[in-house]
Amino acid sequence: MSDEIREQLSALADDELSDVEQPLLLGRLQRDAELRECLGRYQLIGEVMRGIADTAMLGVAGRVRCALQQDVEGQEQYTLKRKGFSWWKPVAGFAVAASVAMAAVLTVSSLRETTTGSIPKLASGQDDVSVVARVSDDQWDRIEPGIDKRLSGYLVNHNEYAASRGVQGVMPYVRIVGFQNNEQ
Amino acid sequence: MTRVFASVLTVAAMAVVIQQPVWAEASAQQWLERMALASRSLNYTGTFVYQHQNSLEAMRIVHAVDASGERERLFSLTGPKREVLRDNQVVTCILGDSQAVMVNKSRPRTPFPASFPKKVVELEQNYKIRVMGEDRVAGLVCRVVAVESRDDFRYGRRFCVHDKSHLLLRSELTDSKGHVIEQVMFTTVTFPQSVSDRELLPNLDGADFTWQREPEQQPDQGDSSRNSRWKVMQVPDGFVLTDHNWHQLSAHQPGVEHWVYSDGLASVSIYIEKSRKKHAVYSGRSHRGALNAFGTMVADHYVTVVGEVPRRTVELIGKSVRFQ
Repeated sequence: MSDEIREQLSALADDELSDVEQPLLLGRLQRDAELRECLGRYQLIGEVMRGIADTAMLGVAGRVRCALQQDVEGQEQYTLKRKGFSWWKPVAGFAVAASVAMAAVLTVSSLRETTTGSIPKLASGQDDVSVVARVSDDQWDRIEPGIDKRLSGYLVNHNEYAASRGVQGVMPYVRIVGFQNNEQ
Repeated sequence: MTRVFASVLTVAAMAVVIQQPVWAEASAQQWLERMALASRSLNYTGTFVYQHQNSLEAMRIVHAVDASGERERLFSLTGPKREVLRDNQVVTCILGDSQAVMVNKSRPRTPFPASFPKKVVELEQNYKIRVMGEDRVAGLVCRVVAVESRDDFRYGRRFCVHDKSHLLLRSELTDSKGHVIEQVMFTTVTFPQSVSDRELLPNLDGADFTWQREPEQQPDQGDSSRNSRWKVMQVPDGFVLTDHNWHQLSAHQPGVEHWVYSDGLASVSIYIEKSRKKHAVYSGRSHRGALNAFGTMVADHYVTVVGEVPRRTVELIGKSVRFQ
């Protein structure tokens, strides 16, 4: 697939394709299943990106396009680097669309000024007294490891109770599997 | 017993279909009923994204139902390698980044409880529930069901439910202003006739990891909150006590008293555990995505409140816990 076609598909997904190009591309889409599949992915990515439009910076669409171009060059897997941390190795080619969206989001995220608070430190104390880790509006994974372990145990247990109670919104355990330690 | 499980799910699914053959005219209640049932009664595999704050993570889920019940495998495609495996007996969390494995007993997920319609009616005391228009997620047409909170003590939800299978394809948690604060959305999903055992096996073996197992035998301290010397003095309207237990979450930890309050949609857990010397006290608040936690010390006990509710709710409940 040529770069030009990819650009046109991306523009169509964003409703930015010119009136001249549109009928030609739509004609090709009718005949070409691969193109249709590709458009579906672009639209999907668009949905993801619109969902985060409030928090992401402008220029995301351009980065998505760049990422898409890299994606379809036969690159089966690639690794994203952020703060020296290896982000992704697809298990078996899953989630290509998701990964592309993430590439853009993470690129944007890395450009943003982080708003992380300081890591809570334990107050020094004698051995025979409990020490206090005061946490204020902080990320779960930045708290003291011993407390984090206890909270994680609570979270697993809480999930089971919440999930056994009928209507569920966010799938149980998503917050355990998908939570990123930003300090890494 | 396992055949009973499968039969109950089948009958429940048929009942839903018979009650409302024309999906387009279904009420919000029927959409929620079908959604709750579909996630437990279908074989499905899919990739989805989980968005919270400025982060976006990709995960994959494999869910299988057969005569032995439900089996599920959820694993990360991005960031640290993590997997959660669940069947009718245990939940196993394999955390590659911290080289830890947590094994806990799973709780039975009520196969389409008979009281569900009543629960939806009760939900409407605290939430405004509406069926909205159609949308498309992962290339599939889905119906949007909006669940708006009537106060600031709970989050709202927007579900997009697949019109054919009724699987929840997109779920958004919203704050009191309707802003999305957490989102889960399938990017691909399939509904295979059967799921092979191989697909449900973990990639991480966890052999060299630190294991934390919930003991088989739990401390026997009675089964009623009336036996407890602890009182939860204040919960927001609509939250009722749904469970009260004593657990031992790990063989190396003492027992913990557990209270669960639910408004039918959101759940809040209160854990009360005797403090231990040299152990840090969790005091204050933190969050994991939209799940908030609040910790405090009361009468030499750690009191920790967790739930997928706003910060003010866990704080209100946590501060009202009293020892008598």
